[in-house]
Amino acid sequence: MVTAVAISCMGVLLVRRFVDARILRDHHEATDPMMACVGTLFAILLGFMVANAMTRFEEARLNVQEEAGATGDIFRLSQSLPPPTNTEIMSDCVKYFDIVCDQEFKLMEDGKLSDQCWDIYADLWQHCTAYEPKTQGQSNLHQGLVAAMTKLGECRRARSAQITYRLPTVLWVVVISGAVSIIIFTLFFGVDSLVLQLAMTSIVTLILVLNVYLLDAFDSPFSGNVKVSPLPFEVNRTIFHKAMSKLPTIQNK
Amino acid sequence: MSFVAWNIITLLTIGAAMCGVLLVRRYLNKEMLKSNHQVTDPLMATVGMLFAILLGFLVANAMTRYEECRLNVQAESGAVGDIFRIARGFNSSIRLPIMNNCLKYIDSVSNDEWPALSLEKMNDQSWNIYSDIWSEISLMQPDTQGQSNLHQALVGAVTKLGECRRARAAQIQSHMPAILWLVIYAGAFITVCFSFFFGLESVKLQLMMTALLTYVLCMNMYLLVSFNAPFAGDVKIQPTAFGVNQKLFRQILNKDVQ
Repeated sequence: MVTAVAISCMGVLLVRRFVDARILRDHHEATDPMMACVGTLFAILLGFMVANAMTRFEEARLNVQEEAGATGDIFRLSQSLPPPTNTEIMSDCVKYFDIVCDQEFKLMEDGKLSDQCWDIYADLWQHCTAYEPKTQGQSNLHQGLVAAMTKLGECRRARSAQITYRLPTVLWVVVISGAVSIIIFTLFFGVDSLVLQLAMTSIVTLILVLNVYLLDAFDSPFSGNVKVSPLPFEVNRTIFHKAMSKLPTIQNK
Repeated sequence: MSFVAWNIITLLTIGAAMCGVLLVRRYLNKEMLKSNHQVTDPLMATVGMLFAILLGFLVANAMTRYEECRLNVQAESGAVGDIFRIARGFNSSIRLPIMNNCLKYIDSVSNDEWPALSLEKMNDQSWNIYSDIWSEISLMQPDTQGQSNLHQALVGAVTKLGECRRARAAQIQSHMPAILWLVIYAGAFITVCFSFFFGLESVKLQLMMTALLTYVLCMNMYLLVSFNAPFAGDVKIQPTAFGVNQKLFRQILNKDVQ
């Protein structure tokens, strides 16, 4: 940020060194509308892209919440199933929470998912599809289980796509070149007060750099300074560890 | 169109725009142009801003449609994944044909259909495999309540698969109307032409500003061209979601067959 502002100020000084301020002032009638055109175009593009990146970030956050919720539903629905199905599914759910919280969120910073988690997910599916309900109540629970498993799968696959998706390189090229073009246009103004022009150019550069930083920060929801937290998983993990510790009590009911 | 090719077109366009400035300067008196600045300035501001807003929103709209296509591919791959996993709850005579067809579908879409999408075509073989999956699921007769529950979920998943596949078929055909392209190109041309009508003291400065303006307009139009065709060009959607399932399904099927 500081570098960009320094370079843009040096640009102003360089232009002023080789081109008289009076000549630049005479060109304001052309510089003004051209910069307005370029500035408006870039502002809409960058603004939309930042909004889009923030929307994708929010979707990633909600997806984590839904995934934790789906796993929680699987845990609770399986509690009333007969043993050993209930304990198998419940302990798989708890293992899933543990690995997601302890390992997978760290791996996601490097764009990876845990193979162990995929295995547990596969085991959960296996238990759910192999279970044969004996009563209507168990059948209703089974239907709920299959629906919750489908939801868990959707969310997990969505998370897998979210950690790998990035804005295309060509988009970054257009954004950076657009920002540079606007800063270059600010150099073509000849304001009487050099200090004032340096201040205005610095402010424009700062705003552009901050917005590009926002775009970068929100583009990768699971890494960087702004990232989605595993809190929904952590909350459920604590609750379900306690529930598992009471398991013999549940089974005797 | 590739980014490299578009950059060449951009350079040529910038060259043409700069020639335009020099041409106007050659045949029209600088003082005469200068005396018209009071009109040229607001007119260019109006035209430029109007076009900038139009192009900006069209690019935003194209990127939104691109995002929808990408999410649809993800959902389609997910639906195939659900069918594959749910089918495992049945005995081998029922589950193996469905699971094999799921893998065949993914192979066909990734290897044969994806290259055809850039030519706005779908692959007949993929449609046939999709029909086979539908037949197998709809002809199924569950023997137990558990299988009935799984069958309901299967029907839901294959319906979802159909929705996503049809959406993809529509998305490859959906384009901006030709009249809109005409307006875009005309708007860009007019905006750049307006920059010729300034009689500035420094020709070099005017050439630089015209070049910058032309460059930014060309880059944004490239974005519109690229994102308007989500399955072709430099930013095309890849079948990564299908690729992930491909490997996983092969491993599971090999285990099941053994």
